[in-house]
Amino acid sequence: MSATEIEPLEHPGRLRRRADPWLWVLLPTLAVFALIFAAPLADLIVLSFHQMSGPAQVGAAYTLANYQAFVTDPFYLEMLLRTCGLGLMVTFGCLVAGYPVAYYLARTPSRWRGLALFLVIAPLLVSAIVRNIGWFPLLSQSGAVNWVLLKLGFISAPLLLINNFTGVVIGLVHALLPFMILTLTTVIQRIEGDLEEAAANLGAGPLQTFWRVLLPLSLPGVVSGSLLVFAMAISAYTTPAILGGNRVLVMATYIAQQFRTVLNYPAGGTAAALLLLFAAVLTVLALQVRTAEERGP
Amino acid sequence: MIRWLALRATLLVVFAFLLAPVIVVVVVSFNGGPILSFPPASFTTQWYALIKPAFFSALYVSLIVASCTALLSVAFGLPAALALSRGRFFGRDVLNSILLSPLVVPALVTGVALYQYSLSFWDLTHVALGGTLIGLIVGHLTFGIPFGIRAILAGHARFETALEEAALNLGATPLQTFWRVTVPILRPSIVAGAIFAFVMSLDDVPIALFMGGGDATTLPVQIFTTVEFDFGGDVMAVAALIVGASAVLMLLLDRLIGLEQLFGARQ
Amino acid sequence: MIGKGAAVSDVRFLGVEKFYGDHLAVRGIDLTVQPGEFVTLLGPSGCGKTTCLRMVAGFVAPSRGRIIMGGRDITALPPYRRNTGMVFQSYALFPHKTVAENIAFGLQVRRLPRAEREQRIAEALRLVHLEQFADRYPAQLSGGQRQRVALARAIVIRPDVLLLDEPLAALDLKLREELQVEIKRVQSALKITTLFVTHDQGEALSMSDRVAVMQDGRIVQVDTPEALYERPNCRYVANFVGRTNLLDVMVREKLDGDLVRVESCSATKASFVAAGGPGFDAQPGDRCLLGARPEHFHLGGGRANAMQVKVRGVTYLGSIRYIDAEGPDGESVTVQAQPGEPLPTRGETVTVTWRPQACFLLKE
Repeated sequence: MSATEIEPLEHPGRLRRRADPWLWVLLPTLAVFALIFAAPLADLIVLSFHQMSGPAQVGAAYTLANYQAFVTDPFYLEMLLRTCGLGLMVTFGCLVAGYPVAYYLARTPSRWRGLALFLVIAPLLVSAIVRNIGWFPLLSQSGAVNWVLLKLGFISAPLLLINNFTGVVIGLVHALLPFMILTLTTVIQRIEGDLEEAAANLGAGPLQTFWRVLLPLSLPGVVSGSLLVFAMAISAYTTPAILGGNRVLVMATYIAQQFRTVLNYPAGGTAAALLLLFAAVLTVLALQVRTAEERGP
Repeated sequence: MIRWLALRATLLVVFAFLLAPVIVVVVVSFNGGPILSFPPASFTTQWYALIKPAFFSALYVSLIVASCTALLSVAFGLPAALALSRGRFFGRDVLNSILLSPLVVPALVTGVALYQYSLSFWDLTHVALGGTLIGLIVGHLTFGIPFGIRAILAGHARFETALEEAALNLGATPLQTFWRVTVPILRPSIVAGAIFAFVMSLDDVPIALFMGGGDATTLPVQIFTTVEFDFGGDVMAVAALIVGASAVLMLLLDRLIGLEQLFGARQ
Repeated sequence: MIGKGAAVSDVRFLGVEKFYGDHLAVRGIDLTVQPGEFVTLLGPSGCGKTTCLRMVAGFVAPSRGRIIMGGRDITALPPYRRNTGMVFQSYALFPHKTVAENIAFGLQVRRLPRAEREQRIAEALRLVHLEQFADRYPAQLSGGQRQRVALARAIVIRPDVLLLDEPLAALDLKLREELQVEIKRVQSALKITTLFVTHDQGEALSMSDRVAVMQDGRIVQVDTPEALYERPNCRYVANFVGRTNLLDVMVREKLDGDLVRVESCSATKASFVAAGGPGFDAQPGDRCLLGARPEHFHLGGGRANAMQVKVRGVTYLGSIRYIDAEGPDGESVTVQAQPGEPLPTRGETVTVTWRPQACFLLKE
């Protein structure tokens, strides 16, 4: 075939819109997802618009009464407040305890760094329920902490550190501290060490350097880590249930109670929908802050 | 100087805090006296002998559910991750977020939603999901699949598509390329995703609490309910055994990851 | 010998074009690579050279036109049915396979019996001097060694065409020069039709039988390295391949042979005689460029063409010394000093002369 005999193939300049074959590959997973996750959640939200018609029974009528109760009933408001309070205290505890560790992990050249990092992650690999059990011999009235404090004479009667709100705070700080540390470590690592040296060179002491240089620069990471920890603290169930001795009523324990013992499914569903909303919004916000920070100024 | 000492002191306190409950569990499991008291009154191994059979069957259930969850998570996660990273279809980023969304939903909420759903499902089809192994696996797949997808997406980000082009150029069909090049190179991420799903499944309480029951009780749930009603020394012994098993698992993983590096996985 | 019995094909681009959305990345490519020939596509990033290469490999489908290989229209064939061997810029060695296994891949897929496979692999390793490294993994090799494995892997399958996509871009100068020699040696020993892509003009000139200079998706000139260097057909090629002096001139009259008298467009209106070159068809009154390579300009001497320039400085490159000067209109003039010749000082005005045959005329 000579060149003059060949007609140039005419393909259109624009891409033809064909369904991307990869969409078919995605389909099975998407279908499974819809069936086992999207549908149940949708069902839950629908449930919240109904009322209980008897133990474990759901009435047919649609109503906003459940949501109204949450904003008007002092019982619910108090529970919301308690949940937020829990989140704030846990977040604060994690920040205070976590920042120094994160600073160390980010800055130290020492060969113990690997071990330290391992020690931070290790508790996460042991099941949450096991860690919670471990708090009992430590925090109970006849436990280690009280024993030490009594022996040293700091207190005259044992402190109530478990089966109450305090125990839950301690337990959650313990559970979420590794997440805070890891987030903050990444953030601090991104701040050049030279900046601290420059500050020192210009006369700033350690506290001033922290306040004027480190903290402002790590703020986005602090915010992002805090939002994440807060979201996880208010979502947690196992720790508040165990360490609260079934006496601490936050959103999570309330929801479980409704579904397990009280059998008021709509009420539980409403609380679950609200918890979902709060936790999801906070987590998404945390991720947005993180990606914005990574993209740089 | 003082700054470093203060930092060191804080570090020690925090690390002690992080490790305390784990160590205490092991120590106290040998306590002859009241289990919640400190210091230990005497040394005994009786609690280990008194572990109720319910815990062993719960362990069995946990392992089965975790294994199935891990396998199914990567079986569904791999095609999804590949489609999300290579496909160019409308709404790809939205679907990506949707498929990863279970990770921002509290496990408790998923648990009660599934419980509720299983009741409606029973009403409709008279097929029981709650209280069955299948129900547990389904429940754990809600976070297993997203973890699988995420792990493989992360591995794929480092994947050099030129490798697949090279295979095609050398004569391999797309299917051959997939099996001989793509999967082996993605294998570390696939394994990581499976391990993650496995561990998360073993640890889960909220979802297993609401989807399980009776014979379908996982180990953490068994411990949970025992602690609620009957907190005795045998639970502490079970907990101590779990700590031991976790330690062994950690060492194993460390060895394995080391070996992975050697077999040509990048960086 | 690996090459024996391999079908040696030609490669032809016929009216090939490529659209990306509204952007025309490659336009009107008509090029034939003869069997056994080494042709380089040369140009800056974004000129379309890699796209053309990938169209031969089958990873990009042309929007228009055809690609013919050894008489077969391969335009619609998927990459794994084309029997081309490609060396990627990033080498694309399979990290989970050893050197030997990497090289074996194409043979395994073709289901060659084991004995023949092993024989060919051994030959390939010998050809690139990597016999000792058969059981190593890519991660354990240096850049240059990986390059050679990639080459071995591509040639062991006895491809009809060898495609190289800027394979030496990631290596340092010394290694690059070594490997240029290696690749050329392997290619001429096996007589494989080769299409090479690079932005490095020195590489292109030293390795190729012919070079196709590309700009904005078009082939601007295809010629042997000598012809490209001595007779570029436009400013772009003249500047891309080596250094050139370019003076604005106007055609005055045609002389015997293909000599042309031109007049400089500067204030001095100096008169020069230059060679028109084949196909030069400008008429008296047309403006064009007079080009000359720095090594053809001489300080002093009584040659036919002469110009006064003011010396601005000297660039010292070891074996080569360039005198940077300024012509009467401020235009840049570069003269390559002869070995041992004393250099003029800055600010000095010198006379530069050159022979008519040593310069060329070109349109813009």
